[in-house]
Amino acid sequence: MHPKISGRRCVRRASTLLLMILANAIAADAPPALRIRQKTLKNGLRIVAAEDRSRPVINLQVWYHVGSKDEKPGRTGFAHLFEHIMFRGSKNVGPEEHMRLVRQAGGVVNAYTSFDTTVYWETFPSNYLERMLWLEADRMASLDVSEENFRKEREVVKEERRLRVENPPYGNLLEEVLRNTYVRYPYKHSPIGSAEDLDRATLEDVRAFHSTYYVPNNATLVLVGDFDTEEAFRLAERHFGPIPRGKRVPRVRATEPEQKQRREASLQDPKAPLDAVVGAYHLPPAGHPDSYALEIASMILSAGQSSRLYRKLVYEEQAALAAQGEALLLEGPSLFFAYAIANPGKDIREILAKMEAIFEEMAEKPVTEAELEKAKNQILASFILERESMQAKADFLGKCAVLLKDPLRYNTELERYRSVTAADVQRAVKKYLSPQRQTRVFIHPAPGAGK
Amino acid sequence: MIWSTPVRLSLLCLLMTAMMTDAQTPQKAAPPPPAAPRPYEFPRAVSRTLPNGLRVLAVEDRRLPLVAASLQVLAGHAYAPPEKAGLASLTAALLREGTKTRSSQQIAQAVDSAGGQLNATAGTDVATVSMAFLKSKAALGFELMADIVQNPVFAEEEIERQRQQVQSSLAVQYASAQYLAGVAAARAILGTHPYAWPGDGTPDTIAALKRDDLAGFYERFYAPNRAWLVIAGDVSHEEAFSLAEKWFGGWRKQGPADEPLPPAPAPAPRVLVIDMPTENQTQIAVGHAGIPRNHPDYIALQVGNQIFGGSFNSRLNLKLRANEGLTYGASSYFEPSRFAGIFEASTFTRTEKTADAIRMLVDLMKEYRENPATDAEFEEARAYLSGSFAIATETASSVAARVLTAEVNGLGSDYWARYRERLEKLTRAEVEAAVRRFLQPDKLAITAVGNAREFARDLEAYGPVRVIPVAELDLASPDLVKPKREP
Repeated sequence: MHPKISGRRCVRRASTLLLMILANAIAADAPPALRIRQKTLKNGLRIVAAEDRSRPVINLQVWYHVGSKDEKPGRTGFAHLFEHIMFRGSKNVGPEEHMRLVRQAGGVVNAYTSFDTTVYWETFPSNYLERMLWLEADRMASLDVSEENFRKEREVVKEERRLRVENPPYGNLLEEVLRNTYVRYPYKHSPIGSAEDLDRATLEDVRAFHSTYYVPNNATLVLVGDFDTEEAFRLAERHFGPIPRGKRVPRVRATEPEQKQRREASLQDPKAPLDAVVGAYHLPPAGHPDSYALEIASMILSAGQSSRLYRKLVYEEQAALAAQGEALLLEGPSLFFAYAIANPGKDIREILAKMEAIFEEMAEKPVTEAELEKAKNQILASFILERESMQAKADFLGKCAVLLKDPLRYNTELERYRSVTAADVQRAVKKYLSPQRQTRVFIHPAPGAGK
Repeated sequence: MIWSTPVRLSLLCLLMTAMMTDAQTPQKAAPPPPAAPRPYEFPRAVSRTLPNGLRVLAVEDRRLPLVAASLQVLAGHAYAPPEKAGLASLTAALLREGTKTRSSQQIAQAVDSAGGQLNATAGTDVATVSMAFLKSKAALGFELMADIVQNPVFAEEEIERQRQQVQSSLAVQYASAQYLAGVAAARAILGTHPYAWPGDGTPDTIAALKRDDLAGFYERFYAPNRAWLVIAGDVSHEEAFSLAEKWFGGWRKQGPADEPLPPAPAPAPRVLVIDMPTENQTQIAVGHAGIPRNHPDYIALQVGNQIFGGSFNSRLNLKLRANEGLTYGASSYFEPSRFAGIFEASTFTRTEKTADAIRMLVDLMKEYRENPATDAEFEEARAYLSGSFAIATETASSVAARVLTAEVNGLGSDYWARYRERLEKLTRAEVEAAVRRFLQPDKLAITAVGNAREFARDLEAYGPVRVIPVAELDLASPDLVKPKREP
């Protein structure tokens, strides 16, 4: 096994080096390449590691390839509730002890649940690598949660829902948009789920979910930071190796039919003080060749105060508090959100019409070379500025490994943005941001609200 | 009810039995021991003062082709009178919106085209102008930053634009119980101290601000003798100093000397309820005046706060969240400024549990004052603060921010280099003494924002209760309510 791995490493090292030379030839300002190495254990656990010894710090992430889209009917919000349960105890780690053992090491810890994945992470002083591997392996191998703690944690999650969705102004807008935009695909509901479904969840669901999805063959271990890679592989094997492979993991089969007609919904929100709108358009998944042009389009539309939407609607016409167009790129059928909040006395329908006119202009006429270069500079800067910490690097490395299916794309994604042309942007906007693919949701203050 | 079907019940029983078996045989494995720690030193900052009085700090960090700079000037909210609350923020926001030679859109174009960042905001003590540019574009970054700091014009048209933006965002903020709890708690705790007023302003104070107010505030307080500049990133110390000299050496102005602000008011029990009948969750903030950042007890109280409410495993969060399931989060923190501060514990819970949550929080605080730290708690808090220091200072910008904190608050230039050493020397007895000197759980200002009808009366045990409907709230008025209009 070992010779094979080092053989692979040589090939990778060479290609990484080549890439670095290429990148340096293109521009002086280039994000440093990561030295990425991979290994897959016999039980199916994939390990992706990148050494960076500039600080005595490691970020470790375990990506489980399960998210809110995998929830069964009547159990929306379960993947996220389950994420909470993962801190309530496993065979060798008591309730809340996980947090304590990380803290005592000087580490920080958290987790998050999205549409496609659930990610657990720790950032810690590098001499504690083995403890963190042990902690994560223990809760992959077993859960040990009492009925009482399960019920309490459900209440915690319902408070989280009240905090994020039920009480803030516009808090329920995302749910409304998803419900109206997707017909079949299970992005129809947001990861927080419904309060009723949370109440229906049982400990039996917890056990089944763990044995179905929390198996090594559905997980990716990502490590970035101050370690020796061979040593890290050895320690990971020691702690994760004994965990048996799970059954074949079920995958979402649903497809989203192509939208051929514009849809519209509106709701009244007693907490919303100003009119708002979201226009959602169906997009291809993350990593699709068109997705890069769409992200460049989104930069030109929204990034900075010189962007097209800000300049026209916020600055020149002072019609909107905010006006943005952004791609939410997921593993499955994705979305582009155009959203705006109207200033008092401004007509939200007119604002949306103007946003649509700006999209139409981009579909009719290529963007200028200056705009294209600006967007590429912004993306280059974000690749450097936003991947400064070990954690930020691991976030993107995990995304490449799990959602883009190849961790080595970490070092090559920037090139995909750089090769987008004005014609690509025009074609993508014309194809995806067309009126018949749009679902618009208006939100209006309820009568008597606000004042 | 969920458990009523026999199949589920039996499965559950099996599961429970399995767990109890585990519980009866506590043969848990211990976590593997740590390896030897690798050394870490806080990056060195070198300082120099320019002839105009600007204090410059340089931090070299060659890991990324990036240069960042941050200028802090004593022109924060504390220097604006209450009837002009929001003045410091609006003044800072206008810096980017036009100079003697560049229009607002020209500045935006230049920044965006280079993929850079240029921001100006105001905090309690200082206004901060910061930039981050790729190394190859850093000269442009400095040129723009120097221009907006030294040559803003405060055009009427741009002021109106920003005013509209602030008014619209305030409209949204005032619909958020979370926002209101934060700003109202500062008033409940600090009364009419200069740190008490809302930095964003209020709809009325923002409406009343004039161009002269902004230009006057800028003229008076933005001056090199009231400012610090840190430059961090892919530059040598000498390069950094010559950049500072080149772009800020010609800033010729003399602002007023740095006079201390008054101390915070003495704590007194009171309950402030903001009524928002639409809420099904109550936002809660409980506290009293804190300490200034340069207070000798700061580190001891920081350790103490870790134990009480400063982490997931704190007594406060374990009780309210893990044991009671009352909230998604409960935490406490110090907000130390240069001359005074706030100590606050906050949480949120469903409306019907409001009084329960407040009672538990206050009881925990009382119990905490009696028993501030077990040995295990003390060791854990200290280990955490010491161990996480390398993580908290991992990026160039976080190092720069700490260097500025030490300078602006007069903590001494070796403060961060010696931070972990001071933690090591700290004893549990010192933490206990500091907590007992400081904490006054019988003199708490309690702020609750939510559906008042359901809980306000239950709070009378904690002090005089004042209920203010959100529509009547005026955070810039000394007594917190809008003047009654004549019919």
